[in-house]
Amino acid sequence: MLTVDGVEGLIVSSRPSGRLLQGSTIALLGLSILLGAIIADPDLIPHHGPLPWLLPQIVLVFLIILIVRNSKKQRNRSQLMTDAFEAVQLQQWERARALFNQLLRSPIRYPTARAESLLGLAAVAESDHAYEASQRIYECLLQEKTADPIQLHTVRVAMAAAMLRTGQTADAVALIDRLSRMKLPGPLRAQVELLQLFREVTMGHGADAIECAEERRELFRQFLSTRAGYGYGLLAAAFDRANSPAQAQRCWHDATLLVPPTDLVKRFKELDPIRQRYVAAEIRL
Amino acid sequence: MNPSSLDLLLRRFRRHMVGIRAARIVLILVVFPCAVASVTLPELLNRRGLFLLIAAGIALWIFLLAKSFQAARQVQTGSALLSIGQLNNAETWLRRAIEHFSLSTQSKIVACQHLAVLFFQRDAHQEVVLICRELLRSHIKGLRHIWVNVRLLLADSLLMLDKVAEAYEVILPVYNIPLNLADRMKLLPVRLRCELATDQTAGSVEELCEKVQIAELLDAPRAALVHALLAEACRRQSMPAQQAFLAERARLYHDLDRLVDRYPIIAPVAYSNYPPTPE
Repeated sequence: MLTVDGVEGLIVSSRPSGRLLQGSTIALLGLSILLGAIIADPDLIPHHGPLPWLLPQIVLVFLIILIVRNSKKQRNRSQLMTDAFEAVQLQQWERARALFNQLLRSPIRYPTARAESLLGLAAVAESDHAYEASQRIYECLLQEKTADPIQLHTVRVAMAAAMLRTGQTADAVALIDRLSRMKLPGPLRAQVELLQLFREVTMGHGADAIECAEERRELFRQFLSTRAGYGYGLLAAAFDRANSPAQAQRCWHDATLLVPPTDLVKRFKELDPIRQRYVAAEIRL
Repeated sequence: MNPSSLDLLLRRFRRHMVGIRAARIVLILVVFPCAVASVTLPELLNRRGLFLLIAAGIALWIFLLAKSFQAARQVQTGSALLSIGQLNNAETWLRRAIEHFSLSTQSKIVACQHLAVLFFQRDAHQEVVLICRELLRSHIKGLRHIWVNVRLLLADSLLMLDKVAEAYEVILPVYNIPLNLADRMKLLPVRLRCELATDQTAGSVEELCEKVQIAELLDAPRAALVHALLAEACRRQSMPAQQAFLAERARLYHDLDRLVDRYPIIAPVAYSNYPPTPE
């Protein structure tokens, strides 16, 4: 299971070093110095023996080795990243944890790639219900501000959800209100609506949740694909609290048609009573 | 872009690709023998020659790097505009990237691939076929990810043009190589459409759970399409329970009435208001 300290370690180790001179830059600088020195003092290299004709070939071979080594390293890291994201998508959490541990152990040069990897690690932490650890990752990404705008939006949404779980309700509500007031395109709006619905269900504001249930349902359907199942599950909880069992049953059926009941409850423990009260869709494959 | 200007652009792309490859070979054939030959020159000439060679090499390298960087930026801008649906602006940038001088074949190939995606979004499938065929002629198998994408795009467009046999032929080599998840997600709907169009539905219903798992990762319209295609395959294979389940799921993802205009093959599933109840 991921801990706050473990996550902190990976955040630090994945941070790119601020050094200006590294790798190929040093090699190029060295080559330029060598060239300059030879021009300034032609006697630097002995006139006789194999060195005068061997040196250029050595430099050339050295450069080729450097380029090949760098591109191989880059290819390996990009394969590791692809494997890690695939594991997250397929919810193979153990594999994802091992891959992200390996990936984030050394610096990641590109800020968006690092942010995406840290978001992947946060997803792994949330699958373990280690919300303090995931919150630490979100805080770090918000402080560093090196992620792209869509990643930062995702971070804010996930951060608010994590804060609701860790009992920082006032901060979470303030953040959710701020996100709700923003003008967002459909897919991002759907994420915020799902979060808002979660807040309403957690805090027992069932009436608010069912007031715009149909609009939300359509938004989830349009933009969340299979994850709309989580939205339908939360809507079922809202209808159940508002004493509308028929609509709650309909939403629970749709939710379980997309996501198995165990997964729904694993992600939102608030749905456990709903699972016991309503009939899930039958999986016929 | 009219057909003649596309034809012109593709001809230019072909010329550039041949030119770039020839220039690379010439560079290697010139630089290495020069480096080796310089040692046979008298001492002073040797040093000067070597210095000139290295200085010219570095200058050329910086120039080509700047050109490649510029081309990559043009492709990046075109791709960003494409992703937000500004197709006309994206086309201008991608054209620029293809016409631009650089020794980077990759940026030209990627620009061409994005141009094919752009025409696909405009439903100009004849143009997509032309571009993809040109790309496949350009020996892009080394760039496997692009090679797979181009084949999938070409097969998709051929299916839209009802050229099923050609589509099947195009997609066949992709079956035989290990694919990553993203490519498997793109392959699944195309493969199912090919199989249904050629009535090879026994293959479509194999490993159903795995296929559904991949479909769940797609965006809503494509997830609906894959579910509807699988439901249709189950209907043809007389698997009513699975058919009903998949059709119900498909409807939950997206409106099938809207999909059926584009993919008439799912009509039996889309228009069956009352899916058969399992026996």
